[in-house]
Amino acid sequence: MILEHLVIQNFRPYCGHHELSFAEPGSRNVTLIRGLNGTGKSSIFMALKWCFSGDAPVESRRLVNTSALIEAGPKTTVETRVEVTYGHEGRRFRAIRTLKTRIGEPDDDGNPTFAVEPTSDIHLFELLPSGDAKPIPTPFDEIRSAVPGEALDYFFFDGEKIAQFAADSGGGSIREAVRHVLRFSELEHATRHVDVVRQEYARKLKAVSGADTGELIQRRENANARAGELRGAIAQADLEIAAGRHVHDEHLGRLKELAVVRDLAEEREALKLKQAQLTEQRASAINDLAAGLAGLAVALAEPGLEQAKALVDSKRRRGEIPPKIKVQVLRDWLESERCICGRPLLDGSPERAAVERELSKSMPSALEEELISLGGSIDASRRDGNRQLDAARLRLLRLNQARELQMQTSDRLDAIDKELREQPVEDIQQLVQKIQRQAHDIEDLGVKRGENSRELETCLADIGRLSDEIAKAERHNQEAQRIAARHDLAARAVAALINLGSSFENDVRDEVQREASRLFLDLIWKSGYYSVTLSPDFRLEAVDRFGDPAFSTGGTSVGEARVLSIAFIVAMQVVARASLDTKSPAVIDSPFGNLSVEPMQRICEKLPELVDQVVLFVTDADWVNVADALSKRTGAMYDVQFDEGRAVADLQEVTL
Amino acid sequence: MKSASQFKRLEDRLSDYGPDVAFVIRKVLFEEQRKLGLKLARDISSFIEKAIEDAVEDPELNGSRVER
Repeated sequence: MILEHLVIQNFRPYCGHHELSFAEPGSRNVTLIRGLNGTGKSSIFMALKWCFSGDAPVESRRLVNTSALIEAGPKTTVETRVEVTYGHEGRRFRAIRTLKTRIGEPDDDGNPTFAVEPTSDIHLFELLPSGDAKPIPTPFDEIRSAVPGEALDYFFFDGEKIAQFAADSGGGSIREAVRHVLRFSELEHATRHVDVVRQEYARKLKAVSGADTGELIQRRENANARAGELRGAIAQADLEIAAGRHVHDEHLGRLKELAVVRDLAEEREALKLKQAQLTEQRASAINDLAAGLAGLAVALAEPGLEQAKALVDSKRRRGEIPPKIKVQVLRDWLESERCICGRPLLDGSPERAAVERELSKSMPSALEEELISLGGSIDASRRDGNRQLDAARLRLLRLNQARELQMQTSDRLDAIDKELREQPVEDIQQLVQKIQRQAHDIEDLGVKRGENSRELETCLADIGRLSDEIAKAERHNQEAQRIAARHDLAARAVAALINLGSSFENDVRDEVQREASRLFLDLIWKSGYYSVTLSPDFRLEAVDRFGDPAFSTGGTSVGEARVLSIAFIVAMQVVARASLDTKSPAVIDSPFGNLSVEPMQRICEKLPELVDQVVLFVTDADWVNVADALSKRTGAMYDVQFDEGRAVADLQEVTL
Repeated sequence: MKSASQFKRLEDRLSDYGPDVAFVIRKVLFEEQRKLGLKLARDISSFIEKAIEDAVEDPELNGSRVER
């Protein structure tokens, strides 16, 4: 499908008739629709999707332009209309979707009343070379052949919803899209039709055969029905096993994360222990230091005191220091101001002066003088003191180191606490049990699948045996033989079509995966990824350089997820084009989101090369960044302008 | 099933199923069904029956049929 022309009328902010022509495939295959946020770009995107599918993300009444209703006046009908002219497989078509709104009498408050028809109408015309428009009686089928509903989101891609793309869709919708884009439905239809014919042969055969053979035929039909059920069950089991493995892998990833959490918790416990030890060491070091300093004082004082003691003893021995009792007697005399002989010791008296003189010869003042003169002894003791001081310094250094280590430990503990707080509380044991259950379920499914496969083989063998018995029983019945031969061929054709469908699906999955991987690695701006995978149950995944899934586990940034989604969409189109020899457009609303400039420009350079027709809805801010990359590839460009006074949008073609 | 690459992909695989089955599948998927633009189930069934009949009646196709 290639888009040619769009007409919108009274749709969303567009009042009246507006037209837009798309750039054709070729060197300038890009159509740009540019405008500020909220001006009406996405409404054009919505119009295209609505026209083809009839679906819109808003209620019908929201599709109708309000200004058109007001301007039309009461008792009139306003038609909301979107026309898309497109080419498909060498033919040209025009799809017209309309929605009518009847304007009633104003209500009691004078406000106009509207009645929007509940459903829209679709008409499709083939535009013949003669200029005539030939109505297509089954527009839905014809449009689906050009753009299947299941794959519409992959041709008309809403960039705003990019984050949901793989997260919500899971494998199911991607699988459906791939199947429809690649037309597997034709194989499925063919399988169903041939099987209907086979059943009809079986019915005819039963009718022309004898009663005994009729029973054999019925048994064969039952076996055929059972074989169909078993095939379905096997296919379902394959999907469930693939999905189970995916969840299992996700849980294993979570377990890995939890193992890190557990390691952190263990580290925290170890650090707490270390911190307690450090606190103890520090207290001990402080005690050591205090003891050391006390010892230092003693060590410094001790030699001096020894010297002083020796000095006092020698003086005492020489009688230079009066004995202690004499000192006390003299002090008593002075206090009582009377000598032992009864003479008064008055202030200023020669007797008192004599007693005071005797007392002045006592130890302290003399010792002080002697100590001053003991410089050599003190120097000797200083050396010991210095040694003690060095030891004290070392203790102080260790104390500081312990303190620093304690602070580091504390910081690390804080960081771990924060990290652990941010982790959801989850019991590792429970998760392990869950993983074990999943592994068990997968194993059970595998066993069940094996049983079904064996039963299918038995069924097929029974069918063959019954066919032989039927042929043998009816060897004289020519008509029965004739029908049996046809039935046999139809049955083999059904089996072949089923196998072909399965192998085609795998082939295409591999191709889409290969192409998406190539594109993603080409577009992504860093080398942290190894590949893109599309699992057997069609789950999209970006694999990082360590082989771990990054997309499903939230390991990709929003920008990377956007690039991955674009790579996948383009891969689908590239594979579809190669496989079906058909052209298709990539219509992307808000393609860039919050991408940085480099990937934005890479996408703009690659996209027009890979896709036949590109339609991008960009903001003025995007345009600043992509103008250089796109200007040479742009074949049509429109500015969307919004008239705030009338609250309506307008499309202005930009001259290139 | 009309593009050259899909045709080739299918052709590569059809040889696994014997000429009579290949004949029927080719008819159903590639040729007359699309040309005739058959939409109704009974038309499609008649078309398939004709293809099967032709295959069964054709000694070349029938004679070289691969055993089940």
